[in-house]
Amino acid sequence: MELYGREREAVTVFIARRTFDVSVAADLAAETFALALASWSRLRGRSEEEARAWLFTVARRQVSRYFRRSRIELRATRRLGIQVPPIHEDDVAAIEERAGLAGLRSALRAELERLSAEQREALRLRVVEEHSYEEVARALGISEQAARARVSRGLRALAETLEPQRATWEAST
Amino acid sequence: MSDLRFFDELGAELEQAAQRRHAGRRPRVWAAIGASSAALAGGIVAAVLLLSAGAPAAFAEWSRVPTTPSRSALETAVHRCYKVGSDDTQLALPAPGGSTRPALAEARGASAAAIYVMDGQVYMCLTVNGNAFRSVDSDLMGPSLRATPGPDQLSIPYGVSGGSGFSGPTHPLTSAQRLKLRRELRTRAGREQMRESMLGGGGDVALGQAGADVSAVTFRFSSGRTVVASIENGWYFAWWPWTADPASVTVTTSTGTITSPMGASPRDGLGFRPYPACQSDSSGCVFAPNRPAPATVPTATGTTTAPTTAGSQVATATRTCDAFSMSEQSVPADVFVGRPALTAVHGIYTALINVDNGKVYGCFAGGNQKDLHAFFDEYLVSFGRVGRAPGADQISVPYPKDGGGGGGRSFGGPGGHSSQAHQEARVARLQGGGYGPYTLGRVGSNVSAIAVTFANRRTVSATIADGWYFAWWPWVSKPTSVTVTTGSGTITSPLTVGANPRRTPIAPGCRPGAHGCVFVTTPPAG
Repeated sequence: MELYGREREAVTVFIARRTFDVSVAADLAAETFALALASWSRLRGRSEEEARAWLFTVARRQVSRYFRRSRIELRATRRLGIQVPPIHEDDVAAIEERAGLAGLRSALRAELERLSAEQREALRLRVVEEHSYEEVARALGISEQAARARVSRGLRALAETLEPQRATWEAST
Repeated sequence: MSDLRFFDELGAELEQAAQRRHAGRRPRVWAAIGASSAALAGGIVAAVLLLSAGAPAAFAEWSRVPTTPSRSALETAVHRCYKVGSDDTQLALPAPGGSTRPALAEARGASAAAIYVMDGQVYMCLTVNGNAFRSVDSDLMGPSLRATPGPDQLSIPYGVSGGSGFSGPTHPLTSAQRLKLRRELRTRAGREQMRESMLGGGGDVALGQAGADVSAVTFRFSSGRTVVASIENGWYFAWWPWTADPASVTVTTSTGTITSPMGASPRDGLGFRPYPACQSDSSGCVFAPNRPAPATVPTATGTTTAPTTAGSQVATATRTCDAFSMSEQSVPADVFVGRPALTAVHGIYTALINVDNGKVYGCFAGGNQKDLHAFFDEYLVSFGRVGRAPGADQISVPYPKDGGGGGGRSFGGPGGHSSQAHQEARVARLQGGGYGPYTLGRVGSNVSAIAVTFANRRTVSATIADGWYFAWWPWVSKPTSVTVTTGSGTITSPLTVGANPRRTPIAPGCRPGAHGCVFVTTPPAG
């Protein structure tokens, strides 16, 4: 419980910055600490730094699994009989603020606005709607090669702007 | 920030779990499975892009946990809903500022909702960022809304996910606006929701009755998201700004917590999801009222075809028509369930006709499972006085306002009403199974058989049941004559429509100008 009291905020913020959803972060944080509880025999006796590193590795894996499977899996909490409490509105606002999500959204929005309308539409069709490049090309009335180029350039433009910010956040946690 | 309620409550849960482990009940926990860096990178790319969409403007301040709305917020919401519904008496909400108090009121971020229960009707008012949505129980979930649950149960409507979705702003969105729509887009489920939302935006609601001992209700979705419902005065309510069904619902009572799956059975072609896992009398289970028993098939005379699957066909048609009635605000709830005045099976089509409060309602369902559709007409509008009782040896013949019937008005198959050439092409394509006009009306007590004949000499017998007749035909043309059999014999009369169908009687003996005139089976003297 000492580990929980010390790291609960950092872990939740860490996950929120990667999932951009506080309610998802709350669930995954609960799962992370449930795993810590279940693995306490392995963690006991380790240094603070080692325990922290273990915790964040687990949190990172939770995020990865969430993206890979498109759903939250709460195996440890379920096995331990832990009911993940609902996250209150005030809590959401506080975590969002701490995680700087508003700033990131703002930055992304600004970057998206900076893209050309053609690039935005190509990104929407390819990434959001998951159409094939052939379908994107047909929808936009361009060749498949041109569709690939538009999506690629749009992604690169976003990444160039956002990656430095993400690296900063990584470092801060 | 560390003193957040969530952290405290989760800490308490972890503490209890730790104590349980020390007490010897030590569950085995599987270690988390690692992920490849490639998968992680892919997730981040997706998240970055999807985050860029941001929350939609209309739902930007939605919260999954409800709060009590301020008095002014509630009054504003009711005022907006009242304005939307004031021109429709069936959907009229209490006037703002009146003495009627809502049974349940909640706020979720900037949205506010109020549920009123008046005269056996349940009214929902929901405002989201200035847009007002309101509905009555027949729209939401039909009779199951009124089912009374046990003290530790919920009434779960048998409609989709406990509610019907509402549409968001219908104005077209620009590409940039679309990209801002949803922040849950980082998941596949979220993207699917995005696709739906881009068709107009919207969400889903869940509304029903909660037993006296129910203290908390939480819906959980397959994406992992949870939505906490409001509970007040024996009702629960929740809404969420995406169109998906909850995967499960967790109900907390004084004896503990139980989670029940929702939508355990596959969705049928009509969008219904029964919940067979829960029985109405099972304590602690989420109560899902069963759908009403389908109408029985009456012994109908004159049926042109008698398919061996008539029973299931009627049951399917009943569900289809019931679903359709729920989506039509001007159709009474349950008008097609129970025991319609007439149930007619003609080949692949089933007709359900009923009279409610002096109005005639008809629904036609047919086609294969991939082509289920239903049609509704309020015959007082379309057919004038078709429901008027004829004499003992008479039938009432519809007199379509558009003059296109000659005893029938075409109903739309897939694709709806269209040009004659298009209809004929469609009929040919469907091999006579998917389209056609129909006729219906009332029959006198002496009438035992009715058949309509066409110029090509084809004849179609009508179904007669409970004082009504009905027939349809899978081609686009009008009958030229009708043959009526009574106890005193058979008579055939021409069905003609004059140049001005509003003034010219369809058949001899019909009074000029009478909409839905009565067809006299006795030939004129001389």
